Amino acid sequence: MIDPLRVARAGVLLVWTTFFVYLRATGEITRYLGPRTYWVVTFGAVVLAASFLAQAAAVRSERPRRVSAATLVGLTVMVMPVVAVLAIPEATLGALAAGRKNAAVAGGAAGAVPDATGRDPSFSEIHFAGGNEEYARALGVTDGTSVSLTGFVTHPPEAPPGTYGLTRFYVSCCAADAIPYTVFVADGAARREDAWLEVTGVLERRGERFVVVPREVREVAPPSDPYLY
Amino acid sequence: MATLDATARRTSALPLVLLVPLLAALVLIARAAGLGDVEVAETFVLIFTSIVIEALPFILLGALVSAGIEVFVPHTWFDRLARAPAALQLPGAALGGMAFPVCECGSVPVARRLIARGMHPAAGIAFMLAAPIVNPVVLFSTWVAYAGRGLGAEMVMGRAVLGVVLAIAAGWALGGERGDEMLRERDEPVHRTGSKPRAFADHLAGDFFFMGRFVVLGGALAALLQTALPQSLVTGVATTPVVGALALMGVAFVLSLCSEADAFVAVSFTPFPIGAQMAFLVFGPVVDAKLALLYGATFRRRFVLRLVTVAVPVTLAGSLWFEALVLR
Repeated sequence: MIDPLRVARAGVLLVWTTFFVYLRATGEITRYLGPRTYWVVTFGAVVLAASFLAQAAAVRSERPRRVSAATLVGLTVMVMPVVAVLAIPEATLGALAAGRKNAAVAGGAAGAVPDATGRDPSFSEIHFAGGNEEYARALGVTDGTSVSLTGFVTHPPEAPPGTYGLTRFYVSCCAADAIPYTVFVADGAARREDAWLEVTGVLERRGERFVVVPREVREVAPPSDPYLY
Repeated sequence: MATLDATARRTSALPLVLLVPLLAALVLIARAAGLGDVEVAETFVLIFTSIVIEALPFILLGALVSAGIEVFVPHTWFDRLARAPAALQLPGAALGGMAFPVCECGSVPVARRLIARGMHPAAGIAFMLAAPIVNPVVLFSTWVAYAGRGLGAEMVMGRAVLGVVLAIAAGWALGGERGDEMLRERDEPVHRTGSKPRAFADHLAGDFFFMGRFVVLGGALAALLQTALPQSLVTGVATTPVVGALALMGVAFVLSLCSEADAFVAVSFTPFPIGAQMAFLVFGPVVDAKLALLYGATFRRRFVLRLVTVAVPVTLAGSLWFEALVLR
């Protein structure tokens, strides 16, 4: 006889296997995880596939088990993340998430004082350079330094008058640990929240932060990888 | 009799068959309603799914180890282990966490299995709480995160020592019952017949489905809290060590981060004293929103509440001691 519990479990395992394979094959994994944890999806896909095959091979049983209501609820819960992704397939972290998380980096935590890189400074480097003179000097960040940044528009309450925030999330393991870094852009224009912009210009020190005085601001499509690492 | 069997089969299979179109309808309705354009929904779904995508493979890893223990480790090994005095088992289990490089989701099924097979419950709890803090991957990521501030070695040592102390204290305080009194019954006993590979596959699936649903629910709770509560709520209390540490323990509970990544978030809490950041790093892998549900499903008798009553004072005292030591 067919064991309904094994059939149900095999079904859920197949759903998750397919989802993990989809994440890796399409590159959609970048939406959810940082590169240092991509391996968990590969590992998960392999073990889930093996578990699915084992369950599928054993669906015929002399003692089939009924699927209780509690089990049915549990199995439904297990597939809800996949259902959520199907319902909202292109979810992104935007201004709302930046506002929720922003206070965590209000003070700015500079890492080790870096060597000059010779390239344009990044969001985090501009952020740290604003509050740390030694860091800024070592990196060569000063008034007039050229920058080219791509990020989304935010309007945090601490934005100086006539500026808006250009923000990018840095991810360590997954989107839950994303930390937003915001650089203020002084172009005087009203910009739509969450719009992705490419801003080129120069830095100008204003108090304890650098702002970007733009030469050119272009609206662009969201990048395929929305995070920095 | 045949009719009765047929009816039973139909009864149990029908909800399963109905579930697929029901979920498909849910997806279609959400898309038609334009839920993807609602930023709150987007933020919630992204954080929720990313927590689950990252955590489920660790549950699988834990389930693999757990099934291996159940099927391949002989009873006599656990009988010998159970005869060792608790005073030896407890610190041994806590330090044994160093050899198990997974975050907190993976250690729960293993601890459950160890207790079920006869390990002293205090030692099982100590292992479960210590492993996500003191394993080499977590300590290395802590060092990387804090090396830039010249505190790599101090944070690694402090986190390891406090993690082991908290695990032993919690094991000693909560592990006084017999294993069968402490663990909740599983609603679906696993078949104990068949070959070893088949038994292994059944135990693996059993543990994965048992723990997995609570990780999903916990991930949803953590995502809801992250989406609804601005972290600025706690930054106003950052300056005093005691309140700062308590506030960051609350943040750790809400964020439910993987212990392999939490140091990179902790280092960004610069308005908070270093002791408060240590409290975040020690408390988070022991009690958080997703773990609360997982513990609730694994252990009886208000385990989470009793764990919190031990973990908060121990973490607070330890983090204040750490801060005094670092700033000396």
